[in-house]
Amino acid sequence: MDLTVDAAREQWRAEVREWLAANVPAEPLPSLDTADGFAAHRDWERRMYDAGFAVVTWPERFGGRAVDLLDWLAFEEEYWAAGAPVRVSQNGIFLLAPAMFEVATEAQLERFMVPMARADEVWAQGWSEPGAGSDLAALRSRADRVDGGWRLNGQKTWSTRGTFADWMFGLFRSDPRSLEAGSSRHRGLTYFLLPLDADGVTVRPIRQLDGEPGFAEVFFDDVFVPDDQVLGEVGKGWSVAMSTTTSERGLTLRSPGRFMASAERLLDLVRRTPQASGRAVDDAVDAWLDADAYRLYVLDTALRAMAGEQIGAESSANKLFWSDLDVRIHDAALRLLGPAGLLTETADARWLDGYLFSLAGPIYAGTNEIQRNVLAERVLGLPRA
Amino acid sequence: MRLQPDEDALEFAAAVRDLLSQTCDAQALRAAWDSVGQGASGRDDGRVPGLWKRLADMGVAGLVVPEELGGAGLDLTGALPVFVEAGRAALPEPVVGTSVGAALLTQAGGAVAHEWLPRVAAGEAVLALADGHDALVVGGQWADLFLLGDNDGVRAVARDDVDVDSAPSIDPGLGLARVRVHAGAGAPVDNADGRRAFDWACVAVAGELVGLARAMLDRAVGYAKVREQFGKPIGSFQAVKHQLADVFVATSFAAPVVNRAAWSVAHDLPTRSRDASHAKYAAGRAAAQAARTALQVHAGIGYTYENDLHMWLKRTWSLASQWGTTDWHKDRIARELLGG
Repeated sequence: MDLTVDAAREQWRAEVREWLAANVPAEPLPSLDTADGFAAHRDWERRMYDAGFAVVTWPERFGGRAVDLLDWLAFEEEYWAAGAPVRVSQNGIFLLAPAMFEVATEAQLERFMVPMARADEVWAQGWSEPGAGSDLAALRSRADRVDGGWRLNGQKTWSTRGTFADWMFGLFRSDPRSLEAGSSRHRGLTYFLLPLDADGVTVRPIRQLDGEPGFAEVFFDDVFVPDDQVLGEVGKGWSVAMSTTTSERGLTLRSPGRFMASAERLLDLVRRTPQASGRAVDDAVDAWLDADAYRLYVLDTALRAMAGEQIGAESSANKLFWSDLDVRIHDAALRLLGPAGLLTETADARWLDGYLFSLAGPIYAGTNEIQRNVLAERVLGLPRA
Repeated sequence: MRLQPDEDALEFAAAVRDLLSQTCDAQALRAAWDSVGQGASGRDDGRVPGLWKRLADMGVAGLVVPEELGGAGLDLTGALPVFVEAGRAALPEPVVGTSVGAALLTQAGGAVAHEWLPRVAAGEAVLALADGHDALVVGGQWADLFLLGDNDGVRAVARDDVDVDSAPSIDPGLGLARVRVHAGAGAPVDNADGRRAFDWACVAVAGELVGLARAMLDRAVGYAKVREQFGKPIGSFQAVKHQLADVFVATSFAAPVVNRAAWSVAHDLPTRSRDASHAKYAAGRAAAQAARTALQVHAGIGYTYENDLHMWLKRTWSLASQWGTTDWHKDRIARELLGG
């Protein structure tokens, strides 16, 4: 065991902290899910990119700093402790990019990575469909072979950032026979990259629990997509997508720094709430401890990954833990605030925003019920139903 | 950086696990429990005959005794995996108590340490810690030397200078005894840091609780795979799967907290006590959840003395209440985080 932090890492952390202290907007940006807020968040990403902090783990040729997972964790801790804005480019840089670096062609990397990192092109997800949520492999949106590419038809829903995004990544069924009885539904899916302003694409914003259009329904009517916008092999879309969702659940989607920062603010809230109920205080302390536990678990996972270990279905444990933790942090805060916690335009309204956002956690990226099935079957080896 | 114990520490623990799987399986454990009240003196009630000698030969008795005094010279981070194995086996031997005592004497040094530590490493003497002059002591039934902490520091009191009354409890494999120290008995252990020893013990017991949680999860998963109802293994039902998945999560997230605390205590960091309490709290919670779930999954057969599960349940209940209850540790953390 060795938990000493060497000087080079401390120096990196100090560099990040210093830049954030000088650059994080003093006032919170307007909501990401409004037109003005979206633009403001794009501007922030460009400033980050220009300073070399937008995509610190990426190779230098795409604007990254090629730092390892430990330095990334330190970056994230500093980022959230500084109260910096949420990342409008998150779908792209944390979900799509890992799959890109694994299977994209050189030409695709050249074409897409820098605009993704600068948020010149913000990406939306195209996974769920009205008939394919937890059972994602049931998806029916189809891709038909045409000269020079593919023609897409169908419908995606719950497309995060879909309302204002520029591009979408998603899965389409390129072999309709794969839905027939006796075939594997996971085969015959292909992973596409497509612009949301293409002919035949219709975006219908959906207002989320907070009233803002944070996701969208997207309809495809004979949308042409050229061959060079297929990511990975035709028919192998499922495995490309799984490499994305593994990183989503695993490490990069919800960095510990975010929960640690929220939990620290929660303790501050306890300290300035003299009449706090003992039960709320107790839950706040639990939340802080679990944020600390989450930090240690991810640190251990990162260290093992860096030592060459394969991180597999255990990432479902990670997703279960942080999504539950996030709800508990914000629930405790609202209970401490009482009626004032339900006001939407006060300084404390961030807790309400955070609470509403946290409620999505146990649902997206694979519901927590699905994650428990994954753990039970793939890690504990229990039989499928 | 590395948050896992070192490879050689893990290898040593794996060897201990092998030994325990041969010498301290459920049948041996049951026999040890049944031995209570059968021996003439009661000194070794609840233990596995001959096992301490074998553990001592392997180096477990002197795990943290300095090498120059005949031990393995490990610090808490190196010893922790052995404590996890002790928990996994619900081991009815004074591995943790003796190690805590040895760590305390090693830290203090001096005459008592030089007199007793070589005997500890040789497996000829076992230690126990007592908090106060009239205390319930884990391993008190078995101990040769008591390290007694009070407001004046730590005193070393030989068994001749205490009254030991066995304290029958739900866990006969714990050697629990009420220990009363004769007035003025024993010798002061100069420079002993009793508070640090307490934190050390909390982390060691947290390691045991992690091992217990894993053992109970394994038992419950194994049972869920073979027990059939409605024509299927009960482990195929989501209501069962999800409970077991939740135990896996709780245990997975407790282990790194315990590892970190071992480092903090071994290096006497400023966060030492908070980290130790977090370890005891997280491991205590995870093990309690594992115990409840394992019992529920076993259902009727789990509610019997005839099935082996109960020995792990009872060890969990015992350890969750020792060295500060799970609630006490939570309160200690809350006081530190919030003041007051």
